[in-house]
Amino acid sequence: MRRILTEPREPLRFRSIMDRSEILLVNLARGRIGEDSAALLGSLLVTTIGLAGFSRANVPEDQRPDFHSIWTSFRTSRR
Amino acid sequence: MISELRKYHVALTLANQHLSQLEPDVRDAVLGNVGSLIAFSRRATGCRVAVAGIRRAIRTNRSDDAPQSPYLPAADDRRGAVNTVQRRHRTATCSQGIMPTDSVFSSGAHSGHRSRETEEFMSRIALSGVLRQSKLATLAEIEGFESTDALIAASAVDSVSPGICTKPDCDYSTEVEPDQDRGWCEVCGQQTVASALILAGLI
Repeated sequence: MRRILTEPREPLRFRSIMDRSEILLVNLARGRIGEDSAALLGSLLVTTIGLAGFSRANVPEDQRPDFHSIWTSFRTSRR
Repeated sequence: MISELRKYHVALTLANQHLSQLEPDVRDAVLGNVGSLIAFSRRATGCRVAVAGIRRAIRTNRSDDAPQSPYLPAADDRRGAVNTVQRRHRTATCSQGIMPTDSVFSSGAHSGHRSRETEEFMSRIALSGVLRQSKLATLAEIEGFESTDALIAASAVDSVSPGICTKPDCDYSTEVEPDQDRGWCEVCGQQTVASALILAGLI
């Protein structure tokens, strides 16, 4: 968590991933990183992807490459 | 965010075991914006919501003036068009059949509104044989069965049964217990849903 949340040497550029049609795989298994960490990172990812999408406002709509975000067992509430 | 990202060409695919994994506001946003609904089971509560949405989409697609959906069969499908016409005909027949009861009732109710109990009682009385057959035919069509016999045969061996609102002007359908004769209709806001087996007189 610390390595992810503190500034890494090469941070993930979600806008770049979107525009270059790259693939990003994130494993948020609660059994591996804990429920709280999974919920926190999941929320951060959703927000970051959304903001990266909104930042495409400076590109004409017909020139925005499609980006697919697939979430399995997506949870918005902690139990 | 779900409802705003479409124009930025960001697509979202969500796969969940059940809808209750989503918070109510997120659930509303998802169900209100998704272009495709896929449900692998019809018995879980969340899947019933999905199935109801799919049914609504199919009904809308079948109507003559509805916009075409890329996810559904073409609206000019002959069988669908014929079914739509037949359903309208049945509805008209059904309304005419129920008219005497309504007329008698209305003549005695000029002075005020009918109570809910009276409404339900009159609805049950009005559930004549013609209306039962009409409702069964409509239910079979909604559920995708070729005939009412096929619908009844499938319902008889299942733990749940398709049900339909018994009001003449309402075709709300949902899954109910096989012996359900007072299921809740989301459209009418009354307990007017009866199962296929009840309508067929088998229970």
